[in-house]
Amino acid sequence: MTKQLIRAVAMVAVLTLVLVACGTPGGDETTTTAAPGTTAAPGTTATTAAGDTTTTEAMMECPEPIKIGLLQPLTGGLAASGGDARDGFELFWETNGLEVAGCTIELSVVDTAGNPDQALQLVDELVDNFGADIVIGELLANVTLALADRLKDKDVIFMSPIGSADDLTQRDRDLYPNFTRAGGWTSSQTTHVLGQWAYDEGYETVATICTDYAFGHEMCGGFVQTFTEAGGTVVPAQQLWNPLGSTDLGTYVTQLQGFAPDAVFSLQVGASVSDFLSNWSNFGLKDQIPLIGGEVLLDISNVRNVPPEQVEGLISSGHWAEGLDTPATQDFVAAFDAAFDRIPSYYAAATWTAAQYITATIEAQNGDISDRLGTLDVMKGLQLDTPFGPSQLDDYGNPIYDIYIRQVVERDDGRLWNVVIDTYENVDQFWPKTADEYLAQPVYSRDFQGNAGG
Amino acid sequence: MRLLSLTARVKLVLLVAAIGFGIAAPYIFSSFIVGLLSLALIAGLFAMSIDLLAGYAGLVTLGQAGISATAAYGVGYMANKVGAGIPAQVLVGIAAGLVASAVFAAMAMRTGGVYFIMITLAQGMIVWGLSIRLYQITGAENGLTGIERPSAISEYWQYYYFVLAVVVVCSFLLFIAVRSPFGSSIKGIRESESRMRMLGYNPALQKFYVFMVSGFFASVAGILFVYLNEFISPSSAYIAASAIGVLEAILGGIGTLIGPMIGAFVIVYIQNIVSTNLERWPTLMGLIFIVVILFARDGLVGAISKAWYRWLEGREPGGPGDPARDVPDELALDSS
Repeated sequence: MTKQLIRAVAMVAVLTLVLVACGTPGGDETTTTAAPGTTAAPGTTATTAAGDTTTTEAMMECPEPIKIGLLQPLTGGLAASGGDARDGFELFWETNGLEVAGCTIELSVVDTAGNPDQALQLVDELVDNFGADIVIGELLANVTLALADRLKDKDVIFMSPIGSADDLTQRDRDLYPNFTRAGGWTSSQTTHVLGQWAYDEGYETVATICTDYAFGHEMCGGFVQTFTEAGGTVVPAQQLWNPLGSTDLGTYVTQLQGFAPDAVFSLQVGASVSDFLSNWSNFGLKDQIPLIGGEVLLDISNVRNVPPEQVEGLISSGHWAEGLDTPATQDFVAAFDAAFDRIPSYYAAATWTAAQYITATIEAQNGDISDRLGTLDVMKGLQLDTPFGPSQLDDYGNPIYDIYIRQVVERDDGRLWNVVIDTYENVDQFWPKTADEYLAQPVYSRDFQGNAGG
Repeated sequence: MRLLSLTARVKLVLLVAAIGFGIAAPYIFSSFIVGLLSLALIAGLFAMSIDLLAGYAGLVTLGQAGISATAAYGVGYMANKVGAGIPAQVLVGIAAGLVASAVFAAMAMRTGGVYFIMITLAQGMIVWGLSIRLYQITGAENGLTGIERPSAISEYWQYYYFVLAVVVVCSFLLFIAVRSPFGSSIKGIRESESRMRMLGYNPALQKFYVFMVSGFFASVAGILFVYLNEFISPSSAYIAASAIGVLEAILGGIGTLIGPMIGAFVIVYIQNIVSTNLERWPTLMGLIFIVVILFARDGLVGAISKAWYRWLEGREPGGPGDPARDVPDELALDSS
């Protein structure tokens, strides 16, 4: 019995050590997580707020603290991206202080593990217990949809700076009155531009390979529609769809080679990204067929995980370009790099920008955001200079951005990043169509890719 | 002469305390905690349905979430795509779960051991794959929303009481089932299929029956779950959902029925409450699981009742306490 006990204690001790050893550096210190049931501000909140009160106390009085809940996948397969989102968000508040218009800001960051069921449980905790005024979430489009549905009748503002399911700010807009995509994007917004660009580059036929779920359908559909409407050709049989999470894309790559198109458009997520890029490179196609990527394929969070020779020179479109040479972008990149020793991905920029929107809105409302819909209207009137570039919201609550054609190049310090080679200014989610024209067509799916030729 | 043994009296007190706590909970806790209690009760029922197979028939399944998700999708489809009323939703949900169980059972009933695990694993994955592919029915990755609870139990605490009542009734039925001749016959199959065959039983048929009973309770859990979350998506059918159910059963104590319920409460607690404070909550879950496997093979309930009987033996030498190995199967009232 005693022996067993000793063994148990020893094992727990060893495992604890292992646990501590592989902890992310600095990760724990920056996690400002409030326990359920407590309304007390977490450690960092209290210190920052205390430091600032002397200067702003007299300025304005605030009815009550403003509470913001962030839901991201911090464990599981999406932990790296979700961690970036959390880091960008917390960096904003560390940089700017947890006080806006005299109001203390309280944060709660919770882990969804990328699971919609768990997200739905935890969002109840954020709303009912923590008392969140603003909920920000999530990374996956399907979780975002589930959250939007759960929150539509609650007295909160729901922001989605990452989850990009098109219809949330398009055909289903009216279902979700308290939803806004400030800091976010719709999937096809970036690829509409890319389709036009590819045609202007002189490509006449393009084959596509995209992940087989809503996000892939929308990214691919955006490209195919503008490309074919401009005059290009995408043969429907040359649109390949690989399952979400597949990690053996060799057969798909050889098929693409057989099609012999002028260029290939690809959108992959998660573990499929590095598999696709390495196959593409190993089959020697990188020097044969131009590859153009959807934003996520060549997001810096993926670029930093693959051998440089596999991605250097590749072109994609995006609302985020970490190499964009403006002060707002470069200040953010430098600050994030200094804090976390990596170049920020769009996930980090998105939550930072969302925080920027929140701050500006609270200021415009003098600290009173209890009228949720009125607050959202105020948010729509803002014009911000964000790391993404100039940003404002359209009538549907989706940002209008400059969309960049980006190329992966080496920085002076040897790391890779995306620099801007072409800019399409003020692109909204319907570009180049009008809202009415665009909304008359169905949302992109496997069956509807907007293919003008067939 | 005592009407009840000391053990039975303790069990009775615990049972009354648990039910009393269950009834009082909405008056004590916030809506969030009450929601979690509903979730834990549902997860417990799901884990009990796995325990019926794994603990009593000796058939470990890794596809149980496929059955409960099928039932949940039945409800979701009728609510979201057809717009049918609650009775039709529930009926279609149960029917879908039972059809899935029957198909699963027919495929798996002639196997056992590791082959049974592999077949049920594949079955669960087929449901998951279909839930992603059959866009028109399941909404693929986006899942199905627009599922609403009946108006009489739409409030969180009303639904909690409803779940409590259903789970208590289902647990009672399960306790009866495992103590019935049917329960004895499936335990017999667990112990020795060839002897059961010699006694005139058809083991394959018995396995089919127990799979159907288990599938029914899994379907009930799936339907309670879909009304709790008012949402269903492929992640509910994924292998991880099945595996969590098996973990809950093992953690609490397999073959005890009450154990899986306790295991479910532990897991739900870690997933939803510890996770907000501890970033590495999956590691904690893994650690607890390792410790239980290494030092308490019979799970929490097994370990506690072992310790109880050991204490009883020391107190009354030669008394009613059996040797530690003879752990009773259920937390039920003795009528001795």
